[in-house]
Amino acid sequence: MEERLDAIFASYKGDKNEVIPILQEVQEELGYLPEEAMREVARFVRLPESKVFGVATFYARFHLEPRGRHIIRLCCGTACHVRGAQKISDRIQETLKVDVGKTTVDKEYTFEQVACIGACGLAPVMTIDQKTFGKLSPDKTSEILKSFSEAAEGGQN
Amino acid sequence: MSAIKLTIDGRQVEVAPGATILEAARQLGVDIPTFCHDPELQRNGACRICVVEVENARALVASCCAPAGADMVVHTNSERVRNARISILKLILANHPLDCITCEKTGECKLQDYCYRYGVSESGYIGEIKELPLDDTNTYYIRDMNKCILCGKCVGKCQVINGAGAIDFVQRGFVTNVGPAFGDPIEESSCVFCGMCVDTCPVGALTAKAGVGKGRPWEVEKVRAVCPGCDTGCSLFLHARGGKVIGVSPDPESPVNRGHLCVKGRFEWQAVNSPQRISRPLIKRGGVFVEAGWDEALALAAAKLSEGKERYGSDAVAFLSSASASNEAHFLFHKLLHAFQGDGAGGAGGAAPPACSIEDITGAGAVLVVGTDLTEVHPVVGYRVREAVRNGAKLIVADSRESALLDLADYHPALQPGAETVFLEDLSGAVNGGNDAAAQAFFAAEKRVVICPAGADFAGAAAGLAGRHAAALYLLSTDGNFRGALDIGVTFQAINGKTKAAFVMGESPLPGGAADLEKLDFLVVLDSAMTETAACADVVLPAAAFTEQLATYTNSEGRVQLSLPAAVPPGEARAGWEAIAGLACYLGLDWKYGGPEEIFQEIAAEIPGYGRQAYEALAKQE
Repeated sequence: MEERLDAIFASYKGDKNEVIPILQEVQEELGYLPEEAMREVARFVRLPESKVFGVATFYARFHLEPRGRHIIRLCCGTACHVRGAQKISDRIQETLKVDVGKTTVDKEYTFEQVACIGACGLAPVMTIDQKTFGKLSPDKTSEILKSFSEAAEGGQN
Repeated sequence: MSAIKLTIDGRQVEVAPGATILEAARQLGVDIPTFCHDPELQRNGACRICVVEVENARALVASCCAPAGADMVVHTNSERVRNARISILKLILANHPLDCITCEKTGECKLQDYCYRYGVSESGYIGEIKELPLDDTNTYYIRDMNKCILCGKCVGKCQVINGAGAIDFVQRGFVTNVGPAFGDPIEESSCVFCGMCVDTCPVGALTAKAGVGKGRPWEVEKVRAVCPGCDTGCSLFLHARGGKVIGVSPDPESPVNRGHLCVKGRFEWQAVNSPQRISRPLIKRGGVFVEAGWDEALALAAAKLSEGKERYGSDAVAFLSSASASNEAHFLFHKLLHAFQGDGAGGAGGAAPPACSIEDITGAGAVLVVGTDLTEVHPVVGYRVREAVRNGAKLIVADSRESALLDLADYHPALQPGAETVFLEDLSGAVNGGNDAAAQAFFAAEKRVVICPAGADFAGAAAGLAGRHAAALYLLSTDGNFRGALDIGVTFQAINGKTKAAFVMGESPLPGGAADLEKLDFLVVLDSAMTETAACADVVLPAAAFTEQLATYTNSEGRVQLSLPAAVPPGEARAGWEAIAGLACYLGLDWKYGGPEEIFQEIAAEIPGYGRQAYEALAKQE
C-alpha cells in the first residue's frame, strides 16, 4: 500500500488544504479508505488523524470499508417512496442477503439507498453501476439481479 | 475607527468596532446564555442558545457571532428570544439523558442551569436517542458521548490550544459525535491528558474520575494553589472536601496559565492521595524502616550529621535539594546549611538572571525554542508558543529530537546532540541573519524570544544570544521552584568520594541516583513519598505535599505566588520548613518560627526582589 500512496502523494505538496483531493485519489486507487491509508494521509498533510477521520466520515462519498464490484443505488426520494421503493429495498436485501449501506460477503454488491437521482418519471428507480433501471417491481428487480449474477458468472468462464 | 454605540435592553453601550453583541452585553453585565462560546476559540455559533432580537433584523441572531452595529437596538430577553431558547433547550433535551440525580455535573451543568432558568423540565420531542458506548478505559477521565451537546469547545481546546488533536467531530447529521480517529478509545489516541476538554465541557459528557461520587460542587471548597509540576507556576484551584483534595480546576484569572493546565496540574496531583505517602518519620534498623516519633528521628539525624562533621570535616556532609520545595523550605534549608557548615554566609542569593514574562512569548514576532520539547516538559508554555504562531510569529525549533512542536515550526534546524552551543553562537554571530532563512526570520522580528532549559550546558550561549540581540530569554526548569531556590542562593552541592553524610530535601538531583547515596555512612531524606532516594535513607522525615501547606513559590518569570493548603497532611507529616526548623533545634540552633509568614518576612528582608511582594498582598489575591 505504501508505494501506491507515495505515488499519489508525489503530485501534492503536503498541505492541509489538499486533504480532500488526496483522500479522493486514495479511494480511487484502493477502492475505499483503510485506516492505515488515513494515517498516512494525516502524516503527509500534517494534520491530526482525528481531523482526517472527521473529514472522511463527514462526506458520504468516502467509504471506510471495502466496496462491492457493483454498486446498487436505490432511490428513496419522494416519488420513488410513494411508488414502493421500500418493497424494492426489501427484495434486494432478501435476494443478496445484504443490509443497507453494506457489501455482500462475496464483495460483489454494495447496496446503498440514496435520496433522489433525478429520474422521478421512472419511479421506483435504481442504478447498478452506470446503468439505470426504472419502473421497478419486486419481481422485476429479482430478474435484473439474476441477469447481473449470470453475466458475472459468464464473465468468469 | 470610532467606537460603536448601541442599545441593549434599553441601556446604551459603547464597544470597539468588531466586538460582538455578546461582548457588548457582557460589558453591561447582561447575562446571555452560551454553550459553545469561548473567547479564545474561533466563533462557531453552533448552539444558538445566545440568540437575541435585533430591531429591524429579519431573524433572531446568534449574539456570540454577530458584530455589534451602530445604533442597533437589541433585546436579550424578549418573549421571542425566550421562546427560541426554550425550543433550543427542548431540542437538546430530546437527545440528552436526564440522569441529573447521579450525574457528576449536577450543580455546574449549563444545560441544567438554563433549563432551570427557562422552566424547561422535559423535551416534549420524542425521537431517536443516541446509544454510544462509554469510554472509561483511561486513568483520568470518562467520556460519555450520549451527554455531548456538540458545542465543539473540547475540539477547539484539543486542536487549537493544546495542539494534541486527539479528538474532532466524527460522522454527520444525527449520528455526529466527538471522538478520536477510527473510533479508538481516547487512551489510544494522541491525547496528552491535559484535561482542558473536561474543564470546558458545559455538560456531563466529560468527567474527571478522581472526584466521582466524592462531593457536589456546592459541598466543595475551592482553594487556590500553585502547581509544582514544573516552574511555569500554573495557578489552580484545589477542590477540597473533608480534609482531602478530590479534584482540581484551572484558574482562569491567572496571568500565568489563563485557565490552561497540562496533565501534571490537572491529574498528577492525585499522587497526594497515594498510598506511597509517608505519614510517620522512619528510621532504618537492620535494613528495614521502622516508624518513629519526630523527636527520635530528628535527634538521630542531628547526631549523625554532627558526627560526620566532627569526624570528617564539614565538607563531608552534603545538603542536596531537588528545587521543587517552597521558598520557605529552601530558605531554611539554605540557612541551616550555612549554619551547619559554619561559613556564616546566610542569605545572599540573587544569582538568577533577569526573567522574561510568559506574555513576552505571546507577543513575540519570532520564537526560538532550543534543546527542549515544550509539549512534553512545559506544555503550558507550549500553548503560548502555539498562540504566538497563531498571531503570526515565526517559530524556530532547534533540537536534536523529534518533538510535537515541529509540526508548527517554520524552521527546524536539526541539531546533533551537543551542537546547541555552536548553533546559538553561530546564530548570534550571523549579522543581519546571513544566508540562513531561520536566522533571517529570527532577526527580522521586532520582538524575539529565546526559550531554553535552565541549567542546560548551552543556557549560557542562549543568554549570550538574547543579550546581544535584545531578545527576551525564557529559562525553564522541570523543578517547580528552581528560580526560587536560585534566588535564595541554594547551591546545588555534589556528592564526591569525600562525602560521608547527606541531608536531601526531595528527590536527589544527582545523576548517579541511588548508587551514590548507597555509599554514604548516613543519609536523611525529607520527602512526601517513598521515592528511590528516600528508600536509601537511614532516616526519612515525612513532608506535607503542596496541597497541604501554606507556601510561596517563584516561577520561571520570577513571579512569587502564594499557594494555600486545602488538605491536612497524612499522619504526622509536616511542612518542609517545619521539619528543617526542627532539625535545626536538634543541631543546637536557636530558631523560632511561628509559621511560613515569618519565614517569608525574613526572605523579603534578605533576598532582592522579594521585599516588594508583601505577603499580605500575595494573600489578598485570594
